[in-house]
Amino acid sequence: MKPQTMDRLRKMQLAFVGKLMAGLSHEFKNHLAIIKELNGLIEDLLLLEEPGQTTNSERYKKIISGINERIAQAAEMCRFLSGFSHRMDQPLSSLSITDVLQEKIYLLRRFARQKQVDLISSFEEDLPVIYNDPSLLQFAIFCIIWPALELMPEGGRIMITVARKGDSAEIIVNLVGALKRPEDDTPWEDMLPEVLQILGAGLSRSIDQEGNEEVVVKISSIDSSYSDDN
Amino acid sequence: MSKVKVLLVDDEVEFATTLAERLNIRGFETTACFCTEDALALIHAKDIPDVVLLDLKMPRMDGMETLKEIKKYNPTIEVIMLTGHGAGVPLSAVGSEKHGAFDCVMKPADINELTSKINQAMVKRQNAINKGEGE
Repeated sequence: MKPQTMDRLRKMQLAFVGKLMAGLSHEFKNHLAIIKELNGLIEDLLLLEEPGQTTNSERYKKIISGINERIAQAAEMCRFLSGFSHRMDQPLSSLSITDVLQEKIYLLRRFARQKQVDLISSFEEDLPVIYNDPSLLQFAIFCIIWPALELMPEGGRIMITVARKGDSAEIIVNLVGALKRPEDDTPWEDMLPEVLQILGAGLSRSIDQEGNEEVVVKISSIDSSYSDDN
Repeated sequence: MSKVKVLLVDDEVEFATTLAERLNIRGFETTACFCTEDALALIHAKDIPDVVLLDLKMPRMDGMETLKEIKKYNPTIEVIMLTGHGAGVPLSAVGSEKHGAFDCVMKPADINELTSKINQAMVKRQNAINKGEGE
């Protein structure tokens, strides 16, 4: 198979996964909406009753409130999942780095929790909107964070800071807590330079004496001829 | 004072009937329709709602097409889009702003937010009617 055909196939495969995931998250949201309304209706009907008419009414209210909280959490998950899925719709688009990275970070939180690693993020308010590949940018950040999660000891900390540098954005990932490194890069890490090259992004890494690492990715808009050339 | 007439259009029958009941408890006069064709038939039969709550994604004729039809028929009917879309949901994100939607609410919706938006939409409609627009 020609490399171009292979590349096109991979892009379409990604779009296909994205579409199915987006569809599924919409379906979840529909079910959540129904549960929320049914739960709300129970609450409304309880409120319409005369005082003392229902035994355990305080308990019902507490249960209703608990269900509402879970619905809100699940709806937020769906919102991030839906956003993440739609990133795969097309290879290039105008994107908010904050939105793109927040989705990625949200979806990685569970893994960080399981490893008992803190995942902290901070975004400058005035970040530029850039024209680039949102899904690939998420993948690039994944290639930094995922190996760190695998290699970091419990109690470690991953801090992601995004700041404006003119028309570019600088994504600084601080990995605090010495990584138990294998001799070679992990399969994810060794993909990173290539991925960043496609994004037209710069990369620098440094490790201090305690073994804490700082990874800096500088990204800006990409030439719109990218999709034709690749 | 007469009740605000709300037409709720959503193909999820259980969602539509439950939400309609909740809105009626709050003093609205809500009719639920489960397809856009029925909703448009109702409007064309001169059963004019004040506010339409319209699901964006529906089979056959979707919410956006229905919005255009409603606004073409009577521009004073205010339409609030319901969507399962992701982040933020400004009107422009779903493209309904340019077709005259009043606002967009994300599912699952908060009933208080929804009733507040219906009331705001009603004020806008009343102002338009007072100016003699549309009707």
